[in-house]
Amino acid sequence: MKDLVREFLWVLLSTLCLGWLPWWQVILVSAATAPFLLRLTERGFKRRLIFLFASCLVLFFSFHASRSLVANAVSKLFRLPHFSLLAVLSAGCFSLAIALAAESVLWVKYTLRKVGQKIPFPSTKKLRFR
Amino acid sequence: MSDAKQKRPYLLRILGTWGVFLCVLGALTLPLGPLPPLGSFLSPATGFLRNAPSNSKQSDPQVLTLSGLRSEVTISVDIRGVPHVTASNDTDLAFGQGYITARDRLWQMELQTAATAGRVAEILGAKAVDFDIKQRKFGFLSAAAAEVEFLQKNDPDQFQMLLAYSKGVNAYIDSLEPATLPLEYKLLGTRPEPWTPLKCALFHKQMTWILTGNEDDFKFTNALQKYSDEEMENLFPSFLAGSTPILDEKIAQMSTSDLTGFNSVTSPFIPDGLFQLSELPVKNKDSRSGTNGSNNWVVDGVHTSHGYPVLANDPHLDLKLPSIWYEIQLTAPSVNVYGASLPGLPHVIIGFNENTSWGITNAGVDVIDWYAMTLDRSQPTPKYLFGEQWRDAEVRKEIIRVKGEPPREIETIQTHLGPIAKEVSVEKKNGGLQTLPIAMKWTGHSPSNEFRVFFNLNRARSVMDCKSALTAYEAPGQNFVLADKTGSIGLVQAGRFPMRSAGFGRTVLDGSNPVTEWKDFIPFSHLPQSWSPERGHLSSANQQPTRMRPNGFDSGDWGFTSYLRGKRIAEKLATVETGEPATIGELMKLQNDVVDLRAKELLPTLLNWVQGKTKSEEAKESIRLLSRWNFELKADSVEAALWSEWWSQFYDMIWEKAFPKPNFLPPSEDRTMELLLASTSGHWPENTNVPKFSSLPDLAAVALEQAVKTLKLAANNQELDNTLPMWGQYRGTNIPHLARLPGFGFEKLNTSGNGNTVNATTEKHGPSWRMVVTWVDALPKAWGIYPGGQSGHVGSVFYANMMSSWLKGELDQLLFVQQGTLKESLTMERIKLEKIK
Repeated sequence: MKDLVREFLWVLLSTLCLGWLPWWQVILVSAATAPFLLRLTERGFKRRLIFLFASCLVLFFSFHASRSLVANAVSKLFRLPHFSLLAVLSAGCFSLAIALAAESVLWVKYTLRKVGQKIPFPSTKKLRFR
Repeated sequence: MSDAKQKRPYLLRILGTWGVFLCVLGALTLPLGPLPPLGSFLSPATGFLRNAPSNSKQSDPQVLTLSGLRSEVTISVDIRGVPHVTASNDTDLAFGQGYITARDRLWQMELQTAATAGRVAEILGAKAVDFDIKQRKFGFLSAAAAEVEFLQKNDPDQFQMLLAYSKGVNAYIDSLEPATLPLEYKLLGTRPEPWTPLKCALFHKQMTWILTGNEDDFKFTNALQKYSDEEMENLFPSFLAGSTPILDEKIAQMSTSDLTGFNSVTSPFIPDGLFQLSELPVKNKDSRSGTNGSNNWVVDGVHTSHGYPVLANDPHLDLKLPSIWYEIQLTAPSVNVYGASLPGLPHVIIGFNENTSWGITNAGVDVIDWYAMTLDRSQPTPKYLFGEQWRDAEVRKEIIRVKGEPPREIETIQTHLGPIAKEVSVEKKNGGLQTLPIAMKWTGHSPSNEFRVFFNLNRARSVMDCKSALTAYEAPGQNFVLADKTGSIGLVQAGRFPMRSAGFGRTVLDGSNPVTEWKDFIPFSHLPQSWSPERGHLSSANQQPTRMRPNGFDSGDWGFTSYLRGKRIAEKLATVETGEPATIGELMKLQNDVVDLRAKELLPTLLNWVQGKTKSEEAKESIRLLSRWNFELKADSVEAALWSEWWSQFYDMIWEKAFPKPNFLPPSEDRTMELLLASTSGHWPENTNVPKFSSLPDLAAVALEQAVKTLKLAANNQELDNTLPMWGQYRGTNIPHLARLPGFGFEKLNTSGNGNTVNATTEKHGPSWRMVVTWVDALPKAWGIYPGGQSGHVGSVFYANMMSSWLKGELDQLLFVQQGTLKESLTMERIKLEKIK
């Protein structure tokens, strides 16, 4: 439960940042906070990706709906029939990038810990993530 | 299991995660084909969502402190998106105009001037290199540079105005951050570069080229090799019997004394074979129905119901978004003017002030000649033959920068006749191809000072002040109609037109023969003009100016459009001569007139010819429909589509063998109509390539069958409910974005009219600005509209807010501020530009 709350906080933070900061800064913030808020778990990546995608979708949909003139024009530029599809595309791109950034950092953290503890590298099948 | 085997899956996962992450990062960072980097473009903080200007009313004024101002400038933007700029002096006024125009249209300004300068490859990359080379060879950049130099030397005040305008544009550019760059910059991955007076001059050159560039001389020269002088005179006469020129003998008030000091020998250059020309890539459905068509007319105060003159103007141009025009009101102690400006130039180009109003149509006079040069490139400095002498050509090295690629260096060659603008291939009679260097002589290459002319027009207090301002007008040649609140009216075809003898300038000329050189230009006293004629009205519609042509006044009757629009306007205005005063509403309505005089004059004869000759039921039904038609080319008319397609097919069938595309130009539609109507009296041309007179009815029937088939196919392709499409559905009007970005423009708009009707809307041309001005109780009252909107930002409500009214033919009342500031209830936002203290 505690992990879920922390994960939720991380998703919220990433989504809010996405609304205000340039995208590469969002990646940095999300990646930097990931080792403190997230854990490397078997199902963690998929769950975070789904949460993040849903959250980003709400963000983009509301932004696009409130700026529908430009969103509709850009949708047509991307050959999309409606701006909601552009919102899906945007949410997909950014949630994937953010989730992957966090996952990559978590793997680094995990590796460093294993190296620090001089534990031999196990096979992923035998990994105990928690 | 060994350690190595245990490590592999773990390493694969970590490397896999990082690999996919880096790939996603790359995809978001790098441009994907024509798409911009998706990360920054889709990001809400920096991407396209930042390009949605506030569309709500701003309660507090925005205060900006900027360098380059002498005192404060206030800008009030009204509920139509039109800025009203007020300054305490003329240069600050130009600064304010530059600032606000750039805020709304910066990208458009930059692209248009880059295109003229031959610098598009810097923005679009290698695909634009050929276009840039063509533009460089035409010499627009050097012509603009010469114009700036000319202004600096001869009119420092106007140069200061251009500098102030540039500072205003640059103040806006300096305020931009990557996130607030106009959307097109984000899409193309470029940044705006500083604006300079050179760019103003480039824009002037671009407009001059758009309105005067004509390369039909090559096609006419080809025809000379195929037809005798008599045949050519019959097919391409200087004047048509039924034509209605702008000014007839009763009202024209120019000098008709013979001009002297011009070359009376034409000396066409006839090559040893045909010039090989390329076809335009896109064929329009109504490309034969005239080309650009602009109208203006004015009725004096004696002949209107409310006692003040009414002036109407609708210049027709290629329709694009953002629109070519930008509405603005400029107020300073010396001026209070409202109208359509061109983004990139200071002042108002078409408009009105408290006392006067003016409108323009393109003169269409031929001010460009092509010279076949005898060029010797074997020397280090190329030489060209002129008379008995070999003269040195000037070679200029020019760098074409290309986005993402190394720059290219090209050489342009200058002669005293003009730059070597192109190399045209000639297919020699005995086989083989010869390439001829062609020099381009164009009035636009000479510096001129239209900035001063429009500065003075904006401040004119009477028609005579306007006349005085227009004596200095040079390019592009225009028909100005004028009115003032005292009731006076006027019309003058102003411009710098070379003196010529009849026929000079229709063909490619021999560049080695000195008799082909231009000597002098027609003085203002000889230009077609009329001032407050008794009949009370004046009008122009790009047709021939006059039949009164003294020796030397051959205005190159090649660029004029069909006389039918002018004839229709003159017919409608003539009613005021009968004592029935015109109302503002009637004169406004005339801009939407779609009666096709060609159909009215020709259709009864054609219907008579095809009676009993058609086979299909659809063609027979079409005849029944057309025989009941009122000749109005309305968008919802099936008959209009039928007539237009039928005439188009018939016209093509008549001339396709005699004047095959793309190397020949067929006789005009007007001449074809006259020949057809006179054919029964034996005036049909006798030539093996032209269908015999006796076969014309059969040909007309075949054309009708073909037209019906084409229309049925179109209806089928468009999945229409009706068997035949309506005119608006079939032809439609496209208003694309300047960079043809899908989603940023409009396609297949349901429009009425064609190039021959007063509402001269075609597939891609149309009324780019409609304006009607009068005075009521001595105060100006005006209406206007253009297809598009004030803002060049696709996310703004002002991007295309005028489109629906324009389509319906409605005009908005223009909010001219007589004194003080714009009413609060009519204000969207206020901006205060303050100087740095």
